[in-house]
Amino acid sequence: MAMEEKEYKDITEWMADKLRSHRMPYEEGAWERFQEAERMAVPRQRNLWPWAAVAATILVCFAVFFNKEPITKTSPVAQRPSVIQQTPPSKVIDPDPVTDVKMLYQAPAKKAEPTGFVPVITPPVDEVSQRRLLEVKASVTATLADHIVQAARATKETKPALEKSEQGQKTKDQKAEDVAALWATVDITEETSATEIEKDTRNWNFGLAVAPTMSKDKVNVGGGITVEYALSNKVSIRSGINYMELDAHRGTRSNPSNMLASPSTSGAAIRPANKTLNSVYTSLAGLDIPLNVEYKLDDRFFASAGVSVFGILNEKRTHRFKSEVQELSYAKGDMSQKPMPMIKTMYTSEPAVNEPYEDRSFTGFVNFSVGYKMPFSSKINLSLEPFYKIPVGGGSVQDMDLTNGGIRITAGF
Amino acid sequence: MSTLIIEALPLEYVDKPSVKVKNLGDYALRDAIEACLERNDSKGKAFIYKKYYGYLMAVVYRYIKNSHDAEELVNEAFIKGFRAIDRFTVKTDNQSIEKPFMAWLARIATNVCIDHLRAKKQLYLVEDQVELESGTTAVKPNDSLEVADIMRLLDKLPDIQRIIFNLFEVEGYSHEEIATQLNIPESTSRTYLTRAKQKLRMYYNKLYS
Repeated sequence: MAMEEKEYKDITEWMADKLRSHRMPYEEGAWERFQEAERMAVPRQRNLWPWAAVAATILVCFAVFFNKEPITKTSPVAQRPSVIQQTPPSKVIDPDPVTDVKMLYQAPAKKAEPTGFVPVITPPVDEVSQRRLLEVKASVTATLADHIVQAARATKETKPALEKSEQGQKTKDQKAEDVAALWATVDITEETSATEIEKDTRNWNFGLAVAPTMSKDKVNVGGGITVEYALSNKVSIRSGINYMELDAHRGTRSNPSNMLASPSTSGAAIRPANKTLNSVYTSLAGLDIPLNVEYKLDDRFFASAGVSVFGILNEKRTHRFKSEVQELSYAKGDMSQKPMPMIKTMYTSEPAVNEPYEDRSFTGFVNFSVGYKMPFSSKINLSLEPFYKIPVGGGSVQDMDLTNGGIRITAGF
Repeated sequence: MSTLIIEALPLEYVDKPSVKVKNLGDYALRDAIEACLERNDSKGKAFIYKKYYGYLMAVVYRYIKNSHDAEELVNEAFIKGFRAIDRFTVKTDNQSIEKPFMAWLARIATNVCIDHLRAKKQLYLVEDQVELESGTTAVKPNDSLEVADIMRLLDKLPDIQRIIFNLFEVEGYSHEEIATQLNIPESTSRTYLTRAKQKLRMYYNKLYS
C-alpha cells in the first residue's frame, strides 16, 4: 500500500497519490462504442482538387474582369476627332505615295477639298481611344497603301498618253475619292470596334440575390451577390457569394412533450437509467460560392447547373438523448394506494462537444435550377429561380442530409 | 520464455496480467504505438484503448461526475490521442515509455475535460465565506479511506477548487499552466488550491472525529 511505502506530510498528499494510482475497471463494450465514436468523428476524406479548381476559376474570372481597362461607352461619333485645323495645300499635296499614306493619319476628310485645304485631326485625349484609333489606322494604312498602288498601276496602264499635269490632277482627284472611301471604311471599323467593346461590357452582369432556402427541417433566408459572364448568346457562367443558413437532423425526432432541459425530478422516486443518443440536430451558417453554367432556353427562361463550395462559418449542434427512468407513481393520483413503479421515457437536449462541420470548414453541393428573367426597368432585370442543391462528397457518419431547395430572387444590373 | 511469446506474437498486444513479465507491457505498447503510427492499426488502438481505458476513466471522473459524459470524453481523448500519436516522443529507447505515454494521455484527457467544463460554463469563481484553519493534517496510521471516499470529499469542493486541486496535486500542473488553462490569475490558482486543501482536511477530520 502506498501509505506504507511513503511518508506523507499531509493528508492531501496521500489523497492525491491515491487518486493518481487509481484505475477504473474496463467496461465491456467500451471499445466497440469507441470504434463507433471514432468512425463518427473521422473527418471525411475529401478530394480537394475540384474545389481548388472551382476557386481558381472564380479567381481567374475576377482577375480578368477587374484587370480589364476601363471602357468608355461613348458612341463612335463621339470618339471621332472633333478639332479640325486648316493646313496650307502645299503641305498636303505631295506626289510621293508614301507621304500620302502618312498624311492619311492626319487627313480624315469625308470629301477631298478641291480648294486644297485638308483638315487635320487633333488626336483624342483619352489614351484608350488613342490606342484604338492607332490600331484602326494602322490597318487602314495597309489597305490604303495597296489601294493607292493599285490605282497608280491602273492609271499607268489605261491612260499612258495623258499629259503629266492632267495625270497629276487625276491622281489628286482619285486620291481624294480614295481617301473618302477609305475613311468610310474607317468609320465602319471604328464603329464595329466600339460595338465590340460595349458588347464586352454587356457580357458581365452583376446582381443582388435573396434566397429563401428550405431544408427538411426549417426555412431560412440567405442572400448575396451574383456575377455572370455571357460566353455566348445562349450560354453564360455564373458565380458569386451567398450567405446561407441550413438546418438538418439525423435520427428519429424526439417527442417535444417529453423534452426536458435536464433530467426530471418529479414523481415519488426516480432511478435514472442510461441515456442513449436519440437524434442529432445541427444548424449551419456559411458562405456558398457557386460556379454554374446557365443555358438560355429562350429570351426569358433559362436553366443552370453547377457546383458550389460551402464554407461553414458557424455550427450549432445539439444531441438529443432518450432515457428511460423508473418512477414510482400513484395509480390515478390516489395517494392512499401503494405507489407502482413505472417506466417513463424522457428526452434531454445537450449542446454537442464537437462541431464536425465547423471543424471540416468546407462541404459542397451540386446545384440545379431553372429560372425566369424579366426586365424591371431599362437597367434592372429581375429573375425568379427555383433551385435545388444536393450535397456532395459525403462519407462521414456525422454528415447530415443537407439537401435543400428554394427560390432565388435576383435583381440584375 | 517471455521473449518467445513476444516474438511469436509481435502484433497481438498481449494484455493479460497472467503473462505479464518485466517490460512485456512496454514492448507491446511500443508495438501498438508503432502500428498506430505506421498503418493506423485497429489492433494497436484496441490494445492501447483497453489498457488505458480504466486509467483515463479515473482521470476524467476527477473532473466530470456524469458517467455518460465521462465515457464520451474518454473516447474523445483517445481519438485526439490516436490522431496526434506521431507527436508523442520519448527521449531514449531504453526509457520506459509507459509512464510518459500515460502522462501524455492524461494530459489530453484533462484538456478535453477542461474544454468540456468551459463549454458548459462550469468554471466560475467562488467566494468562500467560511474561515478555514491553516496547517497540515497527518495521515492516520490505520487509514482505510478508499478512492470512492476521497472522491466524495472532493465532490464537496466547489468545481473550480476541485479542478485546481486535481490539476496541481494529482496531474502535476504548475500554477502558471493552471492559470493559462483556466484563464485565471496565477494568484487565484494558489489561493484556491490552499482553500481546497484546507477544506479537504476539514472534511477528513470531521469524517474521523
